[in-house]
Amino acid sequence: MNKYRPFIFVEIGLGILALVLAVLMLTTRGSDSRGKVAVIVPNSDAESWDALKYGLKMAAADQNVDMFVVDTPEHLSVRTQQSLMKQAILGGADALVVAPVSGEKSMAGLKNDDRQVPVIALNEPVESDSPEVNVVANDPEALGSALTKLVAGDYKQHLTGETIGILASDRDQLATTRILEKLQIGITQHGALIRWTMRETKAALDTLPPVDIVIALDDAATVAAGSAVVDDAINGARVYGVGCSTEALHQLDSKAVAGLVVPDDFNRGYQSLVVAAKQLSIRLSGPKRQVIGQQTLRRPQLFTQKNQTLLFMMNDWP
Amino acid sequence: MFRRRPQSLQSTLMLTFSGLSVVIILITGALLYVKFVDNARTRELAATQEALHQTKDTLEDYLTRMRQIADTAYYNVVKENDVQRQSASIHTGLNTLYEGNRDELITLALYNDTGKLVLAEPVVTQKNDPQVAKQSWFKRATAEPADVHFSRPHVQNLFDLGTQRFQWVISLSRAVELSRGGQVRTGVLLVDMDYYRIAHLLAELNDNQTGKYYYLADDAGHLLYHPRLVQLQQHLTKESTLSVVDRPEGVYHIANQQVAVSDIGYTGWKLVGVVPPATIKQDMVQTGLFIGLYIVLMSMVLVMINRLIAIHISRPLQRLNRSVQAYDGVTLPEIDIGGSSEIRQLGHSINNSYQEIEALMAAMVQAQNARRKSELAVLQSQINPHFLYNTLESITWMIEGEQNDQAVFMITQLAQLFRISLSKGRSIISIDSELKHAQSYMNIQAARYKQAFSLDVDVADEIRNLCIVKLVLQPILENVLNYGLQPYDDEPLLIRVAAKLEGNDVIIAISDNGNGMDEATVAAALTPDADDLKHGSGVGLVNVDSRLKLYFGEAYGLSIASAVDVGTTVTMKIPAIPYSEAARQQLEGAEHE
Repeated sequence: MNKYRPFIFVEIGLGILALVLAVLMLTTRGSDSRGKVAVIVPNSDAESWDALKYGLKMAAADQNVDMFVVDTPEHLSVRTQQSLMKQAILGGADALVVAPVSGEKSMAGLKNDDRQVPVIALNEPVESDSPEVNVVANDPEALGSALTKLVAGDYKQHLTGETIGILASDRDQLATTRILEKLQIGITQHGALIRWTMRETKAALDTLPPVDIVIALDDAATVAAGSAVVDDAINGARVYGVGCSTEALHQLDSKAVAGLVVPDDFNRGYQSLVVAAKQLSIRLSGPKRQVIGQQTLRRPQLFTQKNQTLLFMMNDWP
Repeated sequence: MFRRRPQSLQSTLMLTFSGLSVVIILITGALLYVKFVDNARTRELAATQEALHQTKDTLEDYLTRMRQIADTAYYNVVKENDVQRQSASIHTGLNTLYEGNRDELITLALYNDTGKLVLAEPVVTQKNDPQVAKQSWFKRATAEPADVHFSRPHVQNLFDLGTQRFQWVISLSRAVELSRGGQVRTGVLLVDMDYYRIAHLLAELNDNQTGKYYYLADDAGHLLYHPRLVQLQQHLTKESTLSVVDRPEGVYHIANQQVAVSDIGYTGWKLVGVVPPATIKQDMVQTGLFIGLYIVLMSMVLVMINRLIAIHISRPLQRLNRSVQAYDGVTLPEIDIGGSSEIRQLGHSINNSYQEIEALMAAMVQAQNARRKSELAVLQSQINPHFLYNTLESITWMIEGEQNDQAVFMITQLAQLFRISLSKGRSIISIDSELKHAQSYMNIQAARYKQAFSLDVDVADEIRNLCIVKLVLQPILENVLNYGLQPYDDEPLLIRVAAKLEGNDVIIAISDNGNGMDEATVAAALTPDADDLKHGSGVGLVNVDSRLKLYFGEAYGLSIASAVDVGTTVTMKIPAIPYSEAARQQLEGAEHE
């Protein structure tokens, strides 16, 4: 028996190897997608997400990841957000990219360690020095500064005597608050007087005290203010705002809006999915914060070659 | 120094065959892998070129239609009518063209040489101060009026189309002659093509999971369409193959990628297909796994076949080796003869060699035995001169003393002694003859020693006619007399010769009541080197014992039992073989080691 042993061992070894190779042959066929990423943002059909979704789509192709955007209502509660995340995971998501509702409860839901699915936040639900989940977000302070610079630039840095109304939607309350804080400081430093601050876009703007300048802190607010200009319902005020939708850019083109600060949402979407794809492969490092930039647009520069890229991102390309 | 343990033939054959087989399979596998991968690469490139060709045709069809629209608008509408007097006809003509191609067109517009809008289809509001004269399509058309120009994709920012979206177009522009009130002026005809159609066409082309991609670039290297256009513009990725736009149609190898280039007619555009190495990665992995499986399965089969071959070759040799190893130098082994003709021939040769060696050995042993028998017989047959002298001296004394009867008896006994000693040269005689010989010797010695001993012979008649080696009793009796008979000993020496049958053997005991021997003397008595015991006739017990063994075998011979002051018994054991001429001849010819 001893003299047969090496031969038997060699044959068994080769047999096992053949089996492994055969299994590999059968299992490596087909798609080699690295995983599936679900995206949960409020009012997912809104135009303001177009650039972000295009960035997500491009990154998904580059990173070989399947990506889908979950249909969501206009307003998300923490509970709905949790429910949607759970459904997405049940639907096969291996990672989540979420624009979370602000608040501690929302953060607790995001960093639920039992879930074992990486979560990337598109904005910070709570203020903290070090993030508790991976964050790829705009910098609210930078947006506030850019808005101040945009408005002050049009008035040659002299806003003394100008009255300001500030309009914001009720979304992403933490970011809005931080933009507002920065803006208030900058604007008042330039001598302007803030007459009102409204965090409700559905309010009739013509019922508010007349101001010289309306500054909108997010896309929805900018579009609302721009529409009010078109409808001549804003008492002749100039509108500046943060905007990232085609509609807001149209308003800029039609001079309804005097200037825009456009967050680089393509990059926000792209980089968030890159982080998600990395998290699918290996999770060694702790949560990190990645800050995305923005650019300032005035009408004369809207169709320059550089800015056409911005418009390109917002189109629904095949 | 390390010494490699010798391997068996079977292991060596199997390892060699298997090693060679594996090397050959590996080389074959590597060559197959290279060939398969090369085929996959070629196939992929051919598919890319085919896709490029089809897309080029579609794109050229589209661009040709656009040129035809521009030509029709110019030659059939604009040139045939005065823009001042017949603007309605121009409107109608352009409207007809627009309506007939509205799926592919965004705008048809006519500008004068200053960039002022003459008319447009569809009729829409022109934006405030679009600065047409500063737009590249306008500048190119006026700078090169003989050509038709295609712009890069851009947002159409001339008209408010009321769609709430930015319309991406490629502008076809050409210089035209405008008749205004009989005066001819230069103008520019603009055909804004829907970029979405081109983007859709190329997006469909890029809809594959292989990593292969296609892009469109103009002759200046500006990207008109690229599946990663924004990433490139945002510097998130790089396009390493853009240098091909300067090259003619064909296939190039750039940055480890295969690049197929196709020209789009009239435009200077290049449609480029890029096949990165990752495209055939899946094919390479599958091919690698398939080749790996092939190598493993072939190895399994070949190792098995090699083992069978090794067994087939080595087993007859192993059997031959075992049968050769079984030869102990005594028994001729049965040499295994089997396997191939060469091995069988080898077996036959070894067998013949062994048989010859055996025959030679037998002949040598026979010759040696014969010589030894001869030597022993010669030694045995020598008459101690001292004994002969003493006997003749005794006879002389008897004759001088007129003891004639006794002298005659002595001479008769001596004659009988010599007669049996000679026995016609035979070595085997009957026990009876041997007893008579012994009796004659003792009778002579009795006369010499004045009856100082007595001999008692107790042998049954049926024993007397059995075979015995000649002259074996006399040396024993001589020893008895030499050691048992002591001078000045009053008590006579009693010698008894008794024989009996024990099974198939005859036991002859010669006992005496002499002084006996100590153990050392007994032990040395049958030892060849114990020369001090070889007294008397010059031959000793060793000689007798050797001769008995030589003729009858090792199982036979002498044994001695003795006790000091008690006596000695020498026991002779021989086979009980009836004496006959045939038996005698057989025994004399027998060889025993």
